[in-house]
Amino acid sequence: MSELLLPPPVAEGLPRERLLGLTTTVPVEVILAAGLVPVDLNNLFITAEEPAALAEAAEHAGFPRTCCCWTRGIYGAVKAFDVPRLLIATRGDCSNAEALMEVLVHEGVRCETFDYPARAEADAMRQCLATMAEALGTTVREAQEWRERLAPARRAAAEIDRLSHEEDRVHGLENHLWLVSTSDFCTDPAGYGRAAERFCEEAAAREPIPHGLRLGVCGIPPIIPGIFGFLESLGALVVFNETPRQFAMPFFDAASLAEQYTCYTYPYGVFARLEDLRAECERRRLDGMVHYVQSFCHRRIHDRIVRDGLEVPVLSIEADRPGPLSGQLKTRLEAFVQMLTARKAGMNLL
Amino acid sequence: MSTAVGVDIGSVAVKMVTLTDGWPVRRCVEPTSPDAGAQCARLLQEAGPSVRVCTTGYGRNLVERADLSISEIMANSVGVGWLQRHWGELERVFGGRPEPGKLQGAVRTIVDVGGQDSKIITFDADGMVRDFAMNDRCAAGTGRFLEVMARALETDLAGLDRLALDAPEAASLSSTCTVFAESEVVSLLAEGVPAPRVAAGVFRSVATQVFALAERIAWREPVLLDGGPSASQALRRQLGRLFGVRPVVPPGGQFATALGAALVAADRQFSDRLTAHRQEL
Repeated sequence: MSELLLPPPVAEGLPRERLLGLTTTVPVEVILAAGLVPVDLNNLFITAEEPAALAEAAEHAGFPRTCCCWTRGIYGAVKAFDVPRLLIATRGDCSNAEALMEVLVHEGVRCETFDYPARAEADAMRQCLATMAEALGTTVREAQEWRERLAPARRAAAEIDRLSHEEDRVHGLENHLWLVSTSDFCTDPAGYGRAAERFCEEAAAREPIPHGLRLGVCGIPPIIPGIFGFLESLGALVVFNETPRQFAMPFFDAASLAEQYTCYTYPYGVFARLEDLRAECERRRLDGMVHYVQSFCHRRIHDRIVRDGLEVPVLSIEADRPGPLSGQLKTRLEAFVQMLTARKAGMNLL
Repeated sequence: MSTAVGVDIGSVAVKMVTLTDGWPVRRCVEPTSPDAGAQCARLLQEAGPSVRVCTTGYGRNLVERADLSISEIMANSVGVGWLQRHWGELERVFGGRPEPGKLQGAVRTIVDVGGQDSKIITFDADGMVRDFAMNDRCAAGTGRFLEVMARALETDLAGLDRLALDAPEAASLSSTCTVFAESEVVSLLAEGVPAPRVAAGVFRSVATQVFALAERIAWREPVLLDGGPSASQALRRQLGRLFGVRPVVPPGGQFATALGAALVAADRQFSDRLTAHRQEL
């Protein structure tokens, strides 16, 4: 894999008091309009030198080991990086968010909340945006202007995705990292946009990546990014990352910020996601889907619906902590790739 | 004369099958040693230097002289395919009787109870793998669970099986965790629950876990049971109760995966197609 070119998760020289820690993708345009700098705590956690140590810090602080490792890691990241202020999505993301916030408030961290509407409706979203803008001291109109300013960066991210599935020139891990980083644009939207455009130029000049199978990865972003390289070593290229693509919001036909965040499927339950997944399976000619579920995450319960709802074969895998792929995970991934290869080649094994 | 070897390096046992001209002529099984790579090298010395070797199982990448490795799902499927095609000859090959004596229709579901993990594999009517499921990381529903419980009852797997077959009913084990269940078994015995009932409860617990796995991927009849513990009559009985249909069981079920690996080693065209796009990491 050639150079990634992705900027570091936090730009150098940022004034600490302007940082606003995020627990998931929220309307980042409002944050930028308020003169604050968004920093996705998930990215801080997973790119830390020793992410497992951050999760362990949460356990030492009383978080049960049977709670999602992303939640534990976010807590550890807030502490390790001394993030002064947080915006926590208490509806539309994680069932642990509220308890996490209460622990942090108890420990003196300034926390505010953002709630996605219960249903994907533009009017309800408009109301949420207005509430958020007021709380942060800005207006929806100013946020709308930031939507225009972010458009080049979002278009560059969409181009990376297009180069993945139309031209097979982007590795699965690259696609994952570039797209997942749009939750905060590495704290520097302009820098992200420039780097993404450079990456597109570099990737467009590459030879297509040889592969026998085209796979998607759905569910929350995997805590074990080693799956991408391992699948590629088996001849299966990941050309679709569901949630990172949703974070990148390639919804350029949406007329307003409210509509953009209504098109975004992640906060609104599994059925909206299924529709998106089915469409992308077809558009990207996927041979199979890997459904990643995080240990102890409430979204794990969706697995049955995802498996039943897709026409392509689905492999469900689960992991808890960051680290290298376990032997059991490798066995499952290898078996899935071989099963799909045999099916594609019409090989009767019995 | 062509020779090929399949080695299944499991967490509990290493199984090896040697084929000559596509026919199993030799098989061996040994407990897995901590240095499984060296153990396999020793076993393969006896097979000679020029044979083609395919490995499978959790230790499949530990064998230096392997020509290729494949997943247990593929190996087991190919092995069961052979067993199915030679059902009438299995007694001669493996020295035990298949149950039933004659197969009624092609296998649609394999239940492979292994030492460390259990697997369910389902097939389309045309023999293509449709789906598979493997148990979670813990030992519930595996041979390891049976082994630990046998030890708690101061017997071995065969003894546990005999005990369970004497039970009029199974004791209820509420713990699926192997460590907790071991304590529970000790407590039940201390409370005076007869050992046969406890043993039957142990098999019911494993069968329940395995059945839950099968339900996740829409299993179909006929169901074939293989893997080391497939020799257990008590396990067959408990699985039959849950599936509502008695599983078919070939003799030598413990070797099905190694046999499949050997068949893949022998068929270069097949193995090339299966691993065509693989790259070295």
